[in-house]
Amino acid sequence: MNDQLKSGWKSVFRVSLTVNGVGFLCSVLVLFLFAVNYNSNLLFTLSFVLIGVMIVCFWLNIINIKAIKGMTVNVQPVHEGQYLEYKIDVADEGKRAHLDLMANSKPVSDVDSEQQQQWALTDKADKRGLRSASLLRVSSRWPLGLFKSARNLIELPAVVIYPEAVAVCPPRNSVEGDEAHLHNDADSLVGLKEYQPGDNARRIDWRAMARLEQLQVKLFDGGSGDASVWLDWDDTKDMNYEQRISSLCRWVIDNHTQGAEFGLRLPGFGAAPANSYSHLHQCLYQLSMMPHQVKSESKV
Amino acid sequence: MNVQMSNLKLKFLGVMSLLAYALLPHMGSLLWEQSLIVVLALVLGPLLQSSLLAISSKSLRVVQLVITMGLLLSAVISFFMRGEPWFTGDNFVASFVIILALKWLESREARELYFVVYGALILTAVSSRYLSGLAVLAYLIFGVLLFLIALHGLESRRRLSLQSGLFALKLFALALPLTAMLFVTFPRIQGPLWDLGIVIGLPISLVVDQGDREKGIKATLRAGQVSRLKQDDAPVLVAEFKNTTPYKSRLYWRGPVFTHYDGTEWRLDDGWGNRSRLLKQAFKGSGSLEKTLTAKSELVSYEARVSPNNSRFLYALDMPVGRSTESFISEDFQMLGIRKLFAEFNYGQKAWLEYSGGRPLTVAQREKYTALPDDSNPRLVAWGQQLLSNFSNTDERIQALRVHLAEGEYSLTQTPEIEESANSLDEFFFDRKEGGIEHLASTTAIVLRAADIPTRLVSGYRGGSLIALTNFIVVRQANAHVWVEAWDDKNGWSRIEAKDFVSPPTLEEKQAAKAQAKAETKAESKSAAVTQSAAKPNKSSSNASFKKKTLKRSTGFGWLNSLGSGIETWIFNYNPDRQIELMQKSGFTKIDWKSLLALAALGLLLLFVLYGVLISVRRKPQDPVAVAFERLNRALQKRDLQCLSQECPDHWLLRLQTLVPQLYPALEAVINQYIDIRYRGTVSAGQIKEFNRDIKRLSAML
Repeated sequence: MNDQLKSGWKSVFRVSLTVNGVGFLCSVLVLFLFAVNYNSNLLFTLSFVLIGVMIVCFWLNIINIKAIKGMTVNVQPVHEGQYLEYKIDVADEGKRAHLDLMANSKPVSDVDSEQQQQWALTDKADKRGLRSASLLRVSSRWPLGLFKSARNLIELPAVVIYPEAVAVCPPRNSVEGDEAHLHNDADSLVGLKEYQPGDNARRIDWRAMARLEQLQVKLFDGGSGDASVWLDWDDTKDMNYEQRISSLCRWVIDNHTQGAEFGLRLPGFGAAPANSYSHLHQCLYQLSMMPHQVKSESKV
Repeated sequence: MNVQMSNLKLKFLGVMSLLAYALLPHMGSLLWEQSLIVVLALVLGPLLQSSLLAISSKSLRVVQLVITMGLLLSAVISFFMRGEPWFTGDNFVASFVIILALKWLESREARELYFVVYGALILTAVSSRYLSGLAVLAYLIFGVLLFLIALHGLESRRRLSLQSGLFALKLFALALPLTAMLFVTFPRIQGPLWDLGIVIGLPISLVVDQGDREKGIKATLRAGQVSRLKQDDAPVLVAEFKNTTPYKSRLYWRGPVFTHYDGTEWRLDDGWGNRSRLLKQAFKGSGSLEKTLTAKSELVSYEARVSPNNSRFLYALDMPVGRSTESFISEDFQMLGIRKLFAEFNYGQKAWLEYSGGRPLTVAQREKYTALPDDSNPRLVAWGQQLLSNFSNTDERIQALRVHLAEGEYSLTQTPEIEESANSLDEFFFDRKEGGIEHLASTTAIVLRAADIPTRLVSGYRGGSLIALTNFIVVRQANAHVWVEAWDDKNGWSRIEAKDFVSPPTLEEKQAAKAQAKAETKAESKSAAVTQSAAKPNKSSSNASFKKKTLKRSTGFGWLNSLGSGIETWIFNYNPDRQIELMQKSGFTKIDWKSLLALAALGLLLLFVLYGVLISVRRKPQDPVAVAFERLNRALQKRDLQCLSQECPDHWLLRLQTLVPQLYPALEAVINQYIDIRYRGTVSAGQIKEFNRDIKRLSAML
């Protein structure tokens, strides 16, 4: 947890009177003035009942969010423009149900007594890059909306937002140097080998997996594979800055999906051709972390 | 989406129920066209809100606004056509009712309904004035519950259901202890709010309209004049007493003193407005007045603010003895201003509440105070002359009149039906026996004059509104009063209050009479006779109350009567006096609004913390099987047969087999049930219930 979060974490609890609460108080005041003016004991009683209700609501409101515990948070990277989905496991610690809750001002499901619950909290990923960790603030106006109490529940982890994957034109797919990794494109099967990250997923022998209970990849003889593809920043000179990033992002994903080995060259970064999830993530991460440019300089 | 829509409809339905409930008592007081507008709004609301009309949302909104504006216009026209002043209480309530109904009609979203909900709550409180007794209590309780349900419905994402009602009930029940504490301790400052402003020290001036300044009693007094004044609420003066405030019934604020009666009208002495003459005859200095007093008791000190009345009358408390700037005390014991009062006037003064005395009467004065009008009220004059022939002593004649008034079943009314004539007092005294305070006071004066007792009629005000828990008394035109002063050669002038022998005394008057009796016993003054006579109606009143109680007891619903009387005593009639009494019984010595407010604040704080603790602490749910098992164990412990710690139930059972073979079959059955429930997988609720029942039976046998 960074320092900023730590300092934010201190403001655990905050209870405030809502507009509705102010309306309630005004009504009580009016009733009280009626009671004084007309010397009515019943109207005095009515005012006092409402004050009592208000105090009871104050405590119920606090307790409604006090005993919720955030257990774990899970979130997957998404592309710019898509929705991040935080999956938060929460549980009750105080043997009572927690109703009408809001998490970061969005309604979430109630938490039942002594049960674990999962909230799915979506948030639009409107800007590529690293979205830093933040605190999930849970709040509630239950039961009558007179008070709003809020507290920090759990830390939402940092997450990478990949660039939008939209290609303006087809990739140039420039081939350079050695055929770094053959893709075993041949006619006859010569055997199996244990799956390694980066192996062509289409060559996985599923029957062998069922038999041996581990992933096996088919090996063919005599053939030579495709050459590695290089995706180069300079290949996108004709586009504006964000389009270049989006197109490269699209090409990276397409190459990975097709099982092709690909390398990526960006200003100040180069990744040797490969085809694996870690390679994919590394390339997408580097693309996401490309500095943002102001609009006037969007065409580099 | 459908679920959301139906949830919204339920929210609207909850608010509509509350609104209809609050509006219902008002329907009778509205004009028919206003009632129609309200009913139309309530009926059309659900139709428009549920989108039953097959038109687009935008068109629906337009229809909604057109209908709302149309109804609003109709309401304005109905107010206009009524032709009455716009700013009246009834018009204000009617406008509020219509505005709420139209707001309900116009609302489309739940958040728009908050105004309606709070408005309906206030309307419910206002509606309570149309009901009385326990019906008000029931109406308000149900109204609060509906309010809580509607508000909870608006806030909650859950659908309105029976659970919402139960939750509202729970909230209400939780609020009751706090309500009770505040009800008992919160200072009962009585209104109206204008008075409250005086209590908290606001610089409120005694504003009286120019036209109203002429309202008070001035140079003449005719029958019905005081009764009319009693219907007016305009302030006359505000007095703040030093130390304790006397009983209101003992406060006589002295105004014009009338001498001449022509059969229909009393009037002041000639030249009553002549300042030089008044000053010439006035008492010079407080000592000169006090020297003329033959008896005096209960000295009080106060400061007063008199509203402008375009005359010299300062309405000082009877009998004024102090000195104050810009004022003097006339021969008739009136406190008068050097100048006429065209602006608010402040003075400090002292007064003896009980007194007798005055300068000896001259022959001319004696004639003046015993003069009777010609050809007027012959029967009354004859009755007075009869007193003269029957009783030689002045006191005896006065006492005979008092006894006659007390036993004669006379009553006072604000709307006397006696027509003004030369014999109107005869009609009051012998025929109708019901009239205004002027009839009673005039009759007393004429009878005493006929009995050769010099008498004069004093007008002014009696009592006032005590601002609870303070030393302020506000005197209004509604406190207007007339009484009689009779002359005795030994004692001088003394007050004859005929009203107290006619109307049954109020509780406060009884207390005042008691206090007076005490004071008189000490002083051994001659007015002991008055107290004795006054005791007569008191006795009959207490007899009546006893009979009433006995009758209630005999109906067989004693508890219901007790409940009703308890509610009436402790809720409806819990007034400042009762609050002070209760606090004194609880051991508090200094009781004023500040100490009560501090007590209420302290109680509120304590309960606030206590609520927090109680609501936070939640008892862990108990295992019913363990509870039942513990019950059996306790029962067996009496015979030293309990399950030992760390002992397995199987072993325990074996031990019991040898120790109590006669009980073994029964014990085996329940302990085996326990083993089944505890150690052999899932159990049904029925099994647990059966186990509990068996344990209860067996424990009872043991």
